[in-house]
Amino acid sequence: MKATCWYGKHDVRVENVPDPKILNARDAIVRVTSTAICGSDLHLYNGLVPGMERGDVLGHEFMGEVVEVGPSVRNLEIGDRVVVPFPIACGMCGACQAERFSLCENTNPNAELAEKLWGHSPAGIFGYSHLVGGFAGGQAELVRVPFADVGPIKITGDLRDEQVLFLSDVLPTGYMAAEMCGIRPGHVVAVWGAGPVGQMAMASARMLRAERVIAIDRFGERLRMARRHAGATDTIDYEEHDVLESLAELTGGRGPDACIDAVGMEAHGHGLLHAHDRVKQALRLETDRPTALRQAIQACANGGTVVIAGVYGGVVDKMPFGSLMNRSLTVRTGQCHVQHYMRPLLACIERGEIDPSFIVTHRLSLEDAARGYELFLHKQDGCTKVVLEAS
Amino acid sequence: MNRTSAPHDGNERGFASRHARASRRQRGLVRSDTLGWLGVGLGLAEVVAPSKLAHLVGMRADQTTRRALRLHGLRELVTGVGVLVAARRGRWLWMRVGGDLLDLGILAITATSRRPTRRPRTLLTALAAVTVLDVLAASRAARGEERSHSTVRALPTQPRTVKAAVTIGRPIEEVYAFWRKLDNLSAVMVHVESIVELDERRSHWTVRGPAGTTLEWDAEITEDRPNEMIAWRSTPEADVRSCGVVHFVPAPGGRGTEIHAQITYDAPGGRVGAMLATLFGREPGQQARGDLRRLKQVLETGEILHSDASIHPRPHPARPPTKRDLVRYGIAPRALEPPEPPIPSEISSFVIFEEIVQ
Ligand SMILES: NC(=O)c1ccc[n+]([C@@H]2O[C@H](COP(=O)([O-])OP(=O)(O)OC[C@H]3O[C@@H](n4cnc5c(N)ncnc54)[C@H](O)[C@@H]3O)[C@@H](O)[C@H]2O)c1
Ligand SMILES: [Zn+2]
Ligand SMILES: [Zn+2]
Repeated sequence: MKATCWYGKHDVRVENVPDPKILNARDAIVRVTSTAICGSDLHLYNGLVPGMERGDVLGHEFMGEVVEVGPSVRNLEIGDRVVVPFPIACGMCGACQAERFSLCENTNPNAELAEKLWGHSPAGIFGYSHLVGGFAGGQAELVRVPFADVGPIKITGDLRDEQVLFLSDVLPTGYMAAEMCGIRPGHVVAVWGAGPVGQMAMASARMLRAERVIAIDRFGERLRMARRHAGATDTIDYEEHDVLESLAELTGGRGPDACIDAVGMEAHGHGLLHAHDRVKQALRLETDRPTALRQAIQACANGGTVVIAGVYGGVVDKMPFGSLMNRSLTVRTGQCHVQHYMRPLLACIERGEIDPSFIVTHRLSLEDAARGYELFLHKQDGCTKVVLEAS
Repeated sequence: MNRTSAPHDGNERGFASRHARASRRQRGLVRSDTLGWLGVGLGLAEVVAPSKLAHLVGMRADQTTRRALRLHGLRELVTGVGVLVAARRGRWLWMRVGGDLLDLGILAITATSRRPTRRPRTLLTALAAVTVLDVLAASRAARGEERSHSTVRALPTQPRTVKAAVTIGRPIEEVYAFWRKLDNLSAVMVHVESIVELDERRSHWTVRGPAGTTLEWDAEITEDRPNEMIAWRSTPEADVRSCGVVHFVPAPGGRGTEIHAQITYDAPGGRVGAMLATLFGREPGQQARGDLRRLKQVLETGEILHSDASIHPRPHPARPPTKRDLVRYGIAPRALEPPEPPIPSEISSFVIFEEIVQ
């Protein structure tokens, strides 16, 4: 089969690799129909995530049709149309029982590696380095899905792929970020990053009845998308305006009640601090550049909540911890517990309360994955979300 | 309750720590000592006389510079002292390397961004030289530390103790019963080929060594308290001297069973010692944790989960295996009994999805 393989920084290739096989009793094999490139894939593409091997198959946001099931999968049949959540979860351990699926205790065969870096290991993830399992990913024609009786949900109606594909990752991720804000009537939520995750977070914050949602980014088309489709009430272009000043202005000096970092470890920025971060990141003394996160903390209202949806890998520098502590801020974060959110969010899509397909700007065939990565990395041609059609 | 101490290891452990201290001293890294003192010296100078130092290297001695030099000096002092006194000085040396690189980076920026004067360049060269020294010393220390962890030389006289713990979401009776049927363990312990129970107390262990060799010995259970603990040791005539104890403890909050395992082993050197060293690897604790994690997987989900990479013994890209790989690694999934629902936990603090469904 054809699969998108990682070969190093800015080097992905679509290659022929062996077809996936059933390795465990609760596996299924899915023929991928649509798969997306995620902001998280860019961290791999930029060579910032440790634990990659040349030749790894990428991709963790995908859907398709079941073509084979393992001997113990009873809920799926060949031909079922399914969306697959990006964290792999067993459904049986303590974390899964508490519905914290991205913390499943049984799905990272390389837990020792993760423990070295992070103290304890989270769940395995498709196509996302050997730190989280070494599982082949879904930017391919076929993919093996472990614990297929726990993760995938069946799509029975006549919804298009693009309407349900993002149940796999960015929609629940954005929703979880908004939910973690603890939104109450009258709340103002600010979102750093108007990429797919930010867009979904803004739309969800509106669904959860935030009074105002402020989008922060530097790409005009993304900010316009936020206003037009995601319900943002205000936008800030951080190249034009000072973010902290603008936020104070927009909130009567209080600051937003909740701030969402939907940017992550590769924030873009200026000035001495940014130069410092770049040097340290290049020298591997700091793994992440937390420009947006620093701002989100400083901006947040006293007693407010900072939600980190953007992915961080290791250690960061110059965190305004005093601000966090002295102002009673709450921090909430995590890889999304996708399985927990898929069904209710599918119901929302079916009821027409949200249609996440508005983020798609580019549709390419799987063979063009390398071009998709380039477009998405540089946000060229208004690129906000690339969907690869596999078959 | 002292639940993790093994009843058999008293003397051996005292010996082990004495041995470790001695070998640490022998690692005598003259050069890293020198670097340590150098760091302390420079650090002191920077803290005590920042202005003089600033002039010396061609910087303006304004307040910022003095402050920066003092901070820098503090760092030099800390890492320098670390290198001199710490047990695992390799880490401190690598920290020094990190600091050097940071300095180099900052200096490189100042040297290129403003009009470069000659002195920052001289400083750059000097710093680069220090960095090279630090890297050399650090990598040498790393090699030294590795050697003392893994090789044949370290093992023969040095009994080692490995501890590991895991929590399994199953009732204590089930976990104990699974462990007590020793053959079950061979499926989760990667290097164990088979465990044959000879009678109520004695068992025969076969373990895979490097390059197709095997190692065998008999073990006997010395204490067995159902649903509480099992202790064992190798029989006196065995080549491999080892003993171990595992405790089963109810996890708080109804979260199932905690397993606390401790194994002490010792081998008489030569071939057996070498094999054991390879078996337990550089980090025997990690090996043991991995074994317990696989035990948890089997008890909670019914089998051990493979990833596309993990089925290979060596690093391998995460891409599907070939048919030949499946045969080679003996992977043929069988139907499992549907796993019973796990015991309900009293602990579930996660906010359950409520707001969206209106
Ligand atoms: N927690 C999860 O489960 C989860 C799931 C999916 C993605 N993510 C992470 O979410 C983040 C965003 O993903 P995406 O798909 O939207 O990626 P993306 O690259 O399309 O979006 C990032 C956006 O942030 C903007 N940005 C960069 N620097 C900024 C700054 N200093 N201030 C404000 N905005 C800035 C960029 O212009 C871009 O529009 C990534 O880190 C990704 O790894 C997390
Ligand atoms: Zn993602
Ligand atoms: Zn689980």
